[in-house]
Amino acid sequence: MKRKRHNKKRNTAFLYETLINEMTKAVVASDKDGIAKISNIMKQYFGEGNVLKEEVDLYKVLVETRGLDTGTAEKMLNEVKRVYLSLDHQDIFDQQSKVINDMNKTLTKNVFSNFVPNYKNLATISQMFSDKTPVKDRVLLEKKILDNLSKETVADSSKLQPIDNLVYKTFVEKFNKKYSGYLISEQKELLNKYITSFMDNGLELKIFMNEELGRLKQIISDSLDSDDIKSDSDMSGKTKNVLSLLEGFRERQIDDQMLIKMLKIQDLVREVQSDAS
Amino acid sequence: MPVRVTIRDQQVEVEGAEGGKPVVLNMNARKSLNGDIMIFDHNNIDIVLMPGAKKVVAFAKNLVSDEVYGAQNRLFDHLRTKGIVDTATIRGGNIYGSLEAVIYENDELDAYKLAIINISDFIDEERVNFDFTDAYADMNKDNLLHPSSKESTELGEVPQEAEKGSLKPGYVRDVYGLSSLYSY
Repeated sequence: MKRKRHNKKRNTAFLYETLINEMTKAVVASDKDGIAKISNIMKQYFGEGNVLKEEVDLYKVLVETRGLDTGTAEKMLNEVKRVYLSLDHQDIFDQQSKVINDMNKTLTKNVFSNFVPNYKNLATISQMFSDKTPVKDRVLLEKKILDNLSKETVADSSKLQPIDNLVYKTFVEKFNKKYSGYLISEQKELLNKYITSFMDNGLELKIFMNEELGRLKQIISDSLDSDDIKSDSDMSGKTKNVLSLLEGFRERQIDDQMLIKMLKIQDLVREVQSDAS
Repeated sequence: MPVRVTIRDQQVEVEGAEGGKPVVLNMNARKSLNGDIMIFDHNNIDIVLMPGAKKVVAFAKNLVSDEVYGAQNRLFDHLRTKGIVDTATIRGGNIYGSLEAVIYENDELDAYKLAIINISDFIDEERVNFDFTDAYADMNKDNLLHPSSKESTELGEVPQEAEKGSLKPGYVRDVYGLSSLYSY
């Protein structure tokens, strides 16, 4: 048997969600006329005492409730079904027709194409409510809704713990105390640019490294002419190796390994400079 | 010759050393504490004007590709033909995917003012291309995420049918383009 297709325009919760969506668009676009029109429709059809509001509330119970045990979930579903059956279905149909008509005429037809993230859940509930859905399908849909009602909400375990000023200050003091004797100013600047590189897609880091690599190359290259290095073939070979390593940096993306090597070469260059002076 | 560069929201105001009417350019730029001007408008490259080092450097924005090299090449070609940078100094930078060139110095003209203006001109020329690329990418994304009713079914289950689209049960398509029904 061919299953009856779900008509989203006859799904009250979908109408409500798509109107909310349209309202958000109008607010973002500062479309005062649009806001007023949508607001009127919402007040008229989804205001207190309207049958569509009662129906939407039942949808909300089933969509938003989570973490119930199986027994309570079943009771909840039965109660929602009981209340739904007590609503005047002819009145719902008439009100839906009016709101669809109003939405078509006052707004555009595109309003029905808005993306509603929980549409699938709304469609499941609508089909479960419908007496035209075959019994077998309805039971399966009810099971699906029960599973959703008893599903645990996932706790956000990755939440960052707030750090107060005292903790931050202590951390900075300890960091400075530990590394102030070890890092030279160029190394500190390189680390600083690396740490803050997330802000501008690493552009300041790239600028700094571009200049710093040029400086390092120049000093290492000049050192090849110094008497100490010229007279020692071993030192001369190793200095050339460092130079070719620096040259090789232009052929690879910036990564942690490159930074570590650069920090070491900065130390070496400082040593070469102090020896020279 | 020093110039004064004021950067406001999406605008760069360049003023010569002798004052005069400032030139206002529509660019997304930022000035660092050492005076470097970073221009972010281009889709593929970030352009940095470095008055301290007297050079212009173009860094790859994200991925290094032919598009990036093409953009860098066009930038320096533009600056070279306008006489802003020294052709002999155009070379690869020390960082992967970067290209740089030294700006000519001139005692009579503001070299940096001219460099900024010419970079802005270059971006305006290129903007048509990268606006088109952006619009095309957006259109493709939109087509996938919000297809029209003709090209999509409603969310939810699509009912099963024995025959769907061009797939016909029992119909064999072979490598030579001949199609036949199983008859045995």
